[in-house]
Amino acid sequence: MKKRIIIIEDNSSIREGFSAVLDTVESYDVVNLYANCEDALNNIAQDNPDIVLMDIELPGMDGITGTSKIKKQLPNCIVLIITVLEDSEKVFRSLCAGAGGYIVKNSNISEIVQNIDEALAGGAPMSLSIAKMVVQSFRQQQDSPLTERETEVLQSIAEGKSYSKIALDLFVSKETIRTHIKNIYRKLEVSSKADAIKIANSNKWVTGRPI
Amino acid sequence: MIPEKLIHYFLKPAMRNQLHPQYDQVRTVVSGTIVATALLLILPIPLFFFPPPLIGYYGIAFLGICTLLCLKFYGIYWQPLILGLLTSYFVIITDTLETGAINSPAVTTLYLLLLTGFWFNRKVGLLMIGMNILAILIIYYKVPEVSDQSIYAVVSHIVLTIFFGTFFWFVQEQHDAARMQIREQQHIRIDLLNKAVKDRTRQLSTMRQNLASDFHDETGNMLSAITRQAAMLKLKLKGNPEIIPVVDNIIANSDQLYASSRDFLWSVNNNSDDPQELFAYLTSFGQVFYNQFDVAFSVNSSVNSGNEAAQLEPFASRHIIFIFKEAMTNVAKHAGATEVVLEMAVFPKHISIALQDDGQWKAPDTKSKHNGLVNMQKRSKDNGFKLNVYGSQAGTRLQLDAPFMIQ
Repeated sequence: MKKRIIIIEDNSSIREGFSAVLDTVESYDVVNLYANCEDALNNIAQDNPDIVLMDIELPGMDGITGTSKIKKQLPNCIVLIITVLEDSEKVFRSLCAGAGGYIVKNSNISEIVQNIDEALAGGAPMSLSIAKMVVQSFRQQQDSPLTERETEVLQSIAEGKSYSKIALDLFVSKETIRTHIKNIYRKLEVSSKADAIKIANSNKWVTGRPI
Repeated sequence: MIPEKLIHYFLKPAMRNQLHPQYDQVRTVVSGTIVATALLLILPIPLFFFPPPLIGYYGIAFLGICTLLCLKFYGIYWQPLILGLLTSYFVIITDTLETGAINSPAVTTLYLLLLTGFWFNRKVGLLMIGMNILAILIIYYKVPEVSDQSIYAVVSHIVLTIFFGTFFWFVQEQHDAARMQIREQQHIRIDLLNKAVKDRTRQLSTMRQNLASDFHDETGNMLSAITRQAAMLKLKLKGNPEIIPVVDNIIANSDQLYASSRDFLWSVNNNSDDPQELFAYLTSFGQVFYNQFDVAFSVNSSVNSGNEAAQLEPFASRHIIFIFKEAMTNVAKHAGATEVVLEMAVFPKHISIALQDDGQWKAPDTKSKHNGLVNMQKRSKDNGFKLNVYGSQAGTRLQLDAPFMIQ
């Protein structure tokens, strides 16, 4: 069955561009396009998307708030953040708010499709900077909810190792690493969101614009 | 009047700073000693023809020179000065006794000595009022005859000593107060300037970061729009395959610009001359890049008796990033490697960054790889780096040495 996709992006060229690209993929069905969160939320029940592609910078309600509202209405929907910078603090906050991953705006077709497929399978990429922010976020808590393996994976990513390298070091497959990352994201979302946001605001590896 | 260079010659290097708390005192000592020594060498000459010979004064002049040398080589002056002072009293008292005791004009050299003492230090001068009175009394009592003239002389000298001493004390006090005020104003001025510079720097930094961020957001969005539209164009041009390379070119250029503006944003927001920051950036890039493939990427950094605070030449990092991005792409595309390591070693005068992979080394193709490597070599040469590629069956290593900025 085709996956229903809606796109929320205020730049029309980018919005239509994404739509055109996704239309060429058999298994995707682009249901609707919006320039802001409010319109999308009004129609969310009718659209009933499986996937939402949401720009992080939007007029009016921003991508992070939009993410949590959509997840509240449709908990099984996967929200993917579209962003210019993949390691910004805003991406981290969206992940804490329940986003299932991110797509860099400049990606080509195969990259976009790969990201969406990964997100559907439950995994999302984790970069060095995001890993560091996650480490910081969990450090603030009394007991880290991560297992020992998950902590190892998180640390390795924060040190700059690629998934293949981590898989090599731990004698497991790349898929296993992806599963660990998926679990880390899930625990991140569950853990205190207010705390995570507070930490992300103050950490040093922010390359996006400070709030 | 005394050239600054001459005074500074006798000061230890650490003391040559005007803002050093001891500077004023030591400077006075040096200038005073120079003048005193010079006078001591000249003064006895007109009196040469009258006995007794004023050898004593040359002795004190010698002690003056010793004081200057002590200051230059050991940084001490109180000890030779005290020695000089006591010797002076001894010489003056002896000469006075030989030339007429309390009635001798040589008693006036005591006033000269008192003035010198006040010049050096107000408190020493105060002490010397007492010591002078003591010297006068010694001279008076050494000579047994007691006449009206002698009593008049001794009383006059004591009274005059006290008068001059008090007068000198007030003159020096004013002088010291004025100098203190100047110093204080200098300090206030410097503090104000420092604060202004700090505020300005912070202001510029924030402005710079905001500008860079805005620039990147806007540029990023526009470039993405171009990429998206070019991709749409490509889809629509399926019927005209000859135009596709042009569109691919547009997409490639746009990607390149996107990456460049990212690098630019990084260099503005971080201390891009810091090798550690540069290495962190390359690590981040390498990780994302090799996650696209099944390549095991990791990093390794070490400090080999290196200077941890040293910085690279300005803008060198931009070229290094360019070279290593190219190198990483080459490894992924050509070498057939399964594991890649990025290493950095910090040495006293340079850093060494290397990309090591376990792919088979192939002599560069005449067309494709040759271009990339030649470009890297040229970029290295233009920026003063050393670039070397070592290849074997076991693996390939591309190593770049970049010198630190000379402080």
